[in-house]
Amino acid sequence: MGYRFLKDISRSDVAVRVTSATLSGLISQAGAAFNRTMIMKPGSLPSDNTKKFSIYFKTEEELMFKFLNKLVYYKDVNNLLFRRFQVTKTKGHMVIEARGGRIDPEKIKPVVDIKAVTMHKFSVARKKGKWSMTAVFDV
Amino acid sequence: MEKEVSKRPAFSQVSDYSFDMPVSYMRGMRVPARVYADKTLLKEMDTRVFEQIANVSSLPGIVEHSLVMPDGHSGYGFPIGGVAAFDPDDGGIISPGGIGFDINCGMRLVLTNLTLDEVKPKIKELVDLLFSRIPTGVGNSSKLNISKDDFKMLAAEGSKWAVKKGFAYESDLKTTELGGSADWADPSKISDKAIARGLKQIGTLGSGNHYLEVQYVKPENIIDEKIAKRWGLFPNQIVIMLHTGSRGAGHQIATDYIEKFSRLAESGKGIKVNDKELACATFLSEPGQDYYKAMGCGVNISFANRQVITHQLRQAFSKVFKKDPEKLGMELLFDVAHNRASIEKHAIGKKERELLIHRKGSTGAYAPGRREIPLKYRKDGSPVIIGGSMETGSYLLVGSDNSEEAFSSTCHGSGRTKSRSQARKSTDGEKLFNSMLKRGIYVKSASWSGLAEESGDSYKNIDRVVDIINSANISRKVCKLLPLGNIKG
Repeated sequence: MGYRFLKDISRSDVAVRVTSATLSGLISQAGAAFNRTMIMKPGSLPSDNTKKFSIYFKTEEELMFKFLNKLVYYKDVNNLLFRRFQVTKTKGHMVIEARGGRIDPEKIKPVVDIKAVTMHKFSVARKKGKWSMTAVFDV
Repeated sequence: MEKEVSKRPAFSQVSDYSFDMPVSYMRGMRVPARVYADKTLLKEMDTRVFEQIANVSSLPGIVEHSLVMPDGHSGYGFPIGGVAAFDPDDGGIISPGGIGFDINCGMRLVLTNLTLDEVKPKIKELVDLLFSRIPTGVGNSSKLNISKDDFKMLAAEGSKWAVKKGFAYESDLKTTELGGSADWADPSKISDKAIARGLKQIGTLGSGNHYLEVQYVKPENIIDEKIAKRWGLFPNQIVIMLHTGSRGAGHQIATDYIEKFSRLAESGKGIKVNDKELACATFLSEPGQDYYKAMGCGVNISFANRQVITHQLRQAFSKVFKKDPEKLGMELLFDVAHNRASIEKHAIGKKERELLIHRKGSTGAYAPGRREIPLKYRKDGSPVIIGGSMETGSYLLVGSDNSEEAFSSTCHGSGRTKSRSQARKSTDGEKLFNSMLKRGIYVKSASWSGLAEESGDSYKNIDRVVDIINSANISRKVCKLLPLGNIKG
């Protein structure tokens, strides 16, 4: 369970497949894949900043799409990336508490900026008790 | 290499440099697709390009044929290097995916009166200063303090906003497409999210394939001497090329409207498409018009972004060469987009029709006399700026009499051959830096891996791509520009 970058989906951009036994785990792993796409050293991110947000969704696909777009938003608006995610499921929505820190280009070894989460080949599925998500990031 | 998942079409050859893909290739195609390439390049194109352009050919209101330029490669929704014309009076659509997330992403070329001999000894100082002044790459924000209200003005006015703020010369407007301002833009049609993402990114370069490059005009690389001279180019001259777009704000506008159009399709009130990234609305419908007005804001944000960077560029040159930018001849030759939709008149058969031309990774290339061309260049045809890779050089072209054949469109770059991960595996960024330095190119990048991803061998040969365009006569060569210094994210 974790994430891996896919070679066979996008030439200009970055495709990733994330897997986890649970939906909460899928969120955490998707967050990790998001960070690793952008920076070489996600472990060097501080954990001194928290954002708590709710995501209302009808399908798991909608949940993950909205979650990744939240990460893009906080990255651009607050210059934040998150390392840890605490996920609480309540009726019809998820509450996510994300902990991370400000991006310091001197420390994190930048790779490339994620500017959008595309709907190209975007999918979330559960097979044999395992969740998986495929996404292409526009970079 | 990427997996080949689609079948190769049975092409019919139209000319030495264009091939038609019939409507029989895929069920639902309304018009054929035309690919500009030679036989070798056509064979080398990944087959997903053909599947994607077939999907484009299936969209409502499409006219005559969809097009793929020789730098075409697969994207999402539309292929990169894709062009399509839609007739609003015949149910024609507008699609954010046909324009690209980076709305009005484009190129600008700034002149100087400096020569290679004057700049070469100072290139390191110059590039380092540019890199310190222009925020570049992940985690670097704008140095401007723009309020939300001011950003809305910027989104409404584009480069005109920059003139008011002292970031542009009045003359810059005359050498920018649309006069640097999409007058149909309406900031009430963009979300608070788009504004919030844009606030801290005006005057920033971004990462990926965005760059600012100091280039020179090698005497033997001037192909059309008359036009080059009229446009202010001379042998051994230093010029500066800039490639960036509307940054996070443009991406948010695209994301917002792709979601909106998808929801409409799911509810049965919109248009169903073969690929989610082709989400679209009828151009004359309310949602279609809303997106068009929002896209206009993206256009203006992009113009303003490039203009603020140009201001920083002029200041940096002024500091290093201890002269005012005006005395250094730092005029804007042209600013041209390769990700936009534009209303244009084109002859279809014997009838002139007003069409919405989508260009995604394709540059507008207008024939002499067309009204889209600024007065300064109208007799010659529109300047076309084509960015190659940071190792191999770039081109300045001009729209030709035959540009109409391709709905006044041409290529936009060289087109990737390697994915980013493949490029990182095959190239060491630090070694590439040293190798380029030995060849007289000083590059300053926010990351070694970012540099590796943009290596010359990650792209098609720019000379080959431009040769095809030139031979097909949809635009003609003016000169080739070689890199001397480069900053990138």
